[in-house]
Amino acid sequence: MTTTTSVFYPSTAQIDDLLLSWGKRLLWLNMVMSFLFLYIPIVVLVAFSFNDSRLGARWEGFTLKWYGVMVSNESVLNALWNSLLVAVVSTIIATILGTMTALAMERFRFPMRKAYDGLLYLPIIIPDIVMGVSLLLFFALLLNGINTLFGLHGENAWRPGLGTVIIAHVAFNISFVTIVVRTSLKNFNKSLEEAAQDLGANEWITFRRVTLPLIIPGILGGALLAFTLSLDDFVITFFTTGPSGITLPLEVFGRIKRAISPEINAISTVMLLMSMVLIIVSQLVQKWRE
Amino acid sequence: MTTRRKAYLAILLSPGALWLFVFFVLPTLLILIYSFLERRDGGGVIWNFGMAAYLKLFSPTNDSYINDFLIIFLRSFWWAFLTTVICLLISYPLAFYIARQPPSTRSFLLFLVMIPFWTNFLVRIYAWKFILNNNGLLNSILSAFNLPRLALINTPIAVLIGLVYVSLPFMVLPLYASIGKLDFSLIEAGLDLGANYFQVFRRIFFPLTMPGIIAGSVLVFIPVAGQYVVPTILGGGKVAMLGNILAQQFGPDLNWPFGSAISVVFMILLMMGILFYFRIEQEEAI
Amino acid sequence: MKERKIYGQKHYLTVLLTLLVLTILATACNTPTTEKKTVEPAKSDESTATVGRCGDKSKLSKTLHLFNWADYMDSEIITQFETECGIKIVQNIFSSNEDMMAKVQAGNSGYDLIVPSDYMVEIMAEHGLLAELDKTNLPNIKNLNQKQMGMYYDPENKYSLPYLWGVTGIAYNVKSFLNGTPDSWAVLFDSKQVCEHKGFVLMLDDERDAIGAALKYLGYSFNDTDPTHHEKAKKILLAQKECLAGYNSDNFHQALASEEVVLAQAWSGNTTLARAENKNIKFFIPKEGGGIWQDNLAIPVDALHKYTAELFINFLLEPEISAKLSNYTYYFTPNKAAESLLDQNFHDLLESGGMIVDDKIYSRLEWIKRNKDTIIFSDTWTAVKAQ
Repeated sequence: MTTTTSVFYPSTAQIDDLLLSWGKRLLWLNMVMSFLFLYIPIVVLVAFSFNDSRLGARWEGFTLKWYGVMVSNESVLNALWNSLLVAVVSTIIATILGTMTALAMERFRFPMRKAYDGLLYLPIIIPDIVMGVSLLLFFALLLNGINTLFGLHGENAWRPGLGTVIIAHVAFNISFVTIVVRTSLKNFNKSLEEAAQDLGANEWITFRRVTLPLIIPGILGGALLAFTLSLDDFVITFFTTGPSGITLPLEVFGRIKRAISPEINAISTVMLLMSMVLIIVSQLVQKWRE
Repeated sequence: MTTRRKAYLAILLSPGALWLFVFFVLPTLLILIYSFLERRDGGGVIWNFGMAAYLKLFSPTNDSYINDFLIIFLRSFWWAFLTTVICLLISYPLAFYIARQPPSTRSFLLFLVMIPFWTNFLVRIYAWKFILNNNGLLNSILSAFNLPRLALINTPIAVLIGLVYVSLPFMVLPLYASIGKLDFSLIEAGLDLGANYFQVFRRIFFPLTMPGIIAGSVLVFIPVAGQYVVPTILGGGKVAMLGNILAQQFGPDLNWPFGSAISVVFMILLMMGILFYFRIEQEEAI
Repeated sequence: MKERKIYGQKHYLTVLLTLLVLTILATACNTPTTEKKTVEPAKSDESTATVGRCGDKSKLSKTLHLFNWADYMDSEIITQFETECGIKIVQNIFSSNEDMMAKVQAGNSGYDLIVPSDYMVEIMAEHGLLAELDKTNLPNIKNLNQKQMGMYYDPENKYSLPYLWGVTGIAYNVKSFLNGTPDSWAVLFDSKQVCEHKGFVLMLDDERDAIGAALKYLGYSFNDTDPTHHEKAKKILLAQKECLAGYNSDNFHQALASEEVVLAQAWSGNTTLARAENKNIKFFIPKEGGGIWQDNLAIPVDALHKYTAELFINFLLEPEISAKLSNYTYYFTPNKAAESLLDQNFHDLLESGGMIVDDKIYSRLEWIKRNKDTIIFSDTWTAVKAQ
């Protein structure tokens, strides 16, 4: 279908030319302003990781000592590791389950579909603290039940920790992923899928070869959203974790009370740097593959 | 539906549904039950069923018979609405710009939108506080150029800047997801048939990206309606948001039934809003 | 079509690569705590005191889970205990007594040692959440100041021992009060006085502290629950709000130190912290009276390592350890034997900043208590914050 239209109508390049006349400059300006808005606080944050002041309230001079403090701080590194573990695992699970749910909701008609549609929005609507408290109560009941059932007590008893945190993060992230993936399944040109099936492809092949590539922007968006939410969650994590499952937001929270310690800025800077490097590397890998 | 399709549906639907049922629906039911129980002094609940918490929420709370909780609900929703509109105005052209780039630039820019959000939430908000403070970065720069200082911190403007800042990617991502898969030949067709840019946008582009706009608005509006950290840090915490009241009930007041009742009402209101929104969407589509 | 497919896969690759490498990098620079065996204890032949401090080794656990307030422990103390006794201390942070109680109340929380404030000890003991302390494991109780013991919330110190204490009053910047030093809550609640510093005044963001101070200004108790008194307090707080920068109980000391504000309802410890950075900051307890509070060490009833927790409490009650803690947090130590060991610098800060609590000031201090009637503070607070 796309090939036929492009024979008769102007190419994308021509449209870009037309837009250039007035819209493109504004678009570009908006983009630049948006990124400035997004990155100005980040620049400040990075600059303050080099600030030689314990309270961090004003600029006292350049130092690298906070990076030293950070590297030698076992609990911060441990928290960073826990955070990444929780974020990666919960993102993978939530993205798979969320994409499956989105497909089911957009491609099938079934009883109670409307009701389930509404239910999917609840984990987004529910205030953090309410979800945190409800999960605290629920996990307490559940773990208590399991421990009694299997006669586990003392050191062997199951208790809240990273496992319960991951479960909780998946529970709120499924909905976020589903919503984003569904936007890419809506207004979806089904004729492509039908054509593929007419040509003898089964559902799985059709999905993998036709549907998946088209909804990848949605899946990518959903996964990024889930990863970000998980990495940054404080309230729900606080209520669902145990003594050994400290994540970075919990650690940061503990350090921000007295002062916005430059050490925290140092951690943030390292994380920023790491993600920047990774993205540039993956871009290069792509170029190289091409 | 064929048996085969039924099986597919079951495979697709059940893992997510099961997870949500066990780890979300059941815990939330506990909160629903709590909202009908009685507060126990010093934490916890007394298992006496009643409507006390809801009555407290809906009865007048001061001498002029205005309900304080109503004011707080309305304030939270108003802030959420403003934030959503501003985010939409910034994000729509941004998502459009990103979607029109070559594939490799596209994913690069998308990551660039997200990266700031991989630093800690509190750290980002405090960075803004540092910029907007009376003796902050912005005012230092202004006074260096002999310009008048701006009293931004602890004002609604500072709160709005912070709320837009923390919400932006939640608008950009769904918009990108719906613009990114658009068939741009439709625009070419529209233009070719003599429509002007505005008409093309209004008649073709806008309706086709409606799912993204709706998803983005929902993802921005809802968290902001429950948000209270940003108003506390950048706004000085002078007025309460819904989130403050909730934190107060589950925290210092140890009034879990009342906190539960507030959140149940909040969730019902938002649910009604979403359903209403979808009705409009469907009518627009027809 | 073809182009789209490729681009889809590329996106895939980017995400996967990013996530994977992030994980790998994080693993690379992290030594999981599980692999790291507990710290080797120092050779016990160093001194006899060391042996005593680590108690009966056969009864000790490998780790101890401490649930504490933010920035309320000197990491050197933890390191010292870990090296001396070979016990790993894992510290978690809570931000309110109620959050902490919610987790302990749920049961099976895994914490061995908690730090509840005064009123919370009373609530938790009432609910049977605290274990009785075995005093035979706590010989260092003798070091504690009798003045800080046997408080209303735990008259026989059956469940708790004092950790740190402090007072609530007013902090101000001397540069803004050149015409005379303030001595009354009026500086915060008389609308004429407070509005002289419009936009540069902070109140604590806590219903009991803020409303309590207004009640105190009116001549009532911090714990007054009379609705007519609360109505008056509400009016005062609403008038005051016009001239406030805001409410803040987290890092108001930073705002004071950087001169973002010049007047604030404040805790003594945070004010000392501000004064360490900015010598213009001073503190006073208003003549109408101020607040006093005390945080305590206690053991949850379902703690796994009670003996180890008691050993650590006893360690914290060593004079030099208590002094170290006080020097670090800038709050007052309840340890009589530690008083002479405090840093001169810390003492100077207190002395010159007006933070010293002598007997005369002490008699003006009042505890914030809770009972079933104090729920009225919640409604007053909502009314103040709603408008």
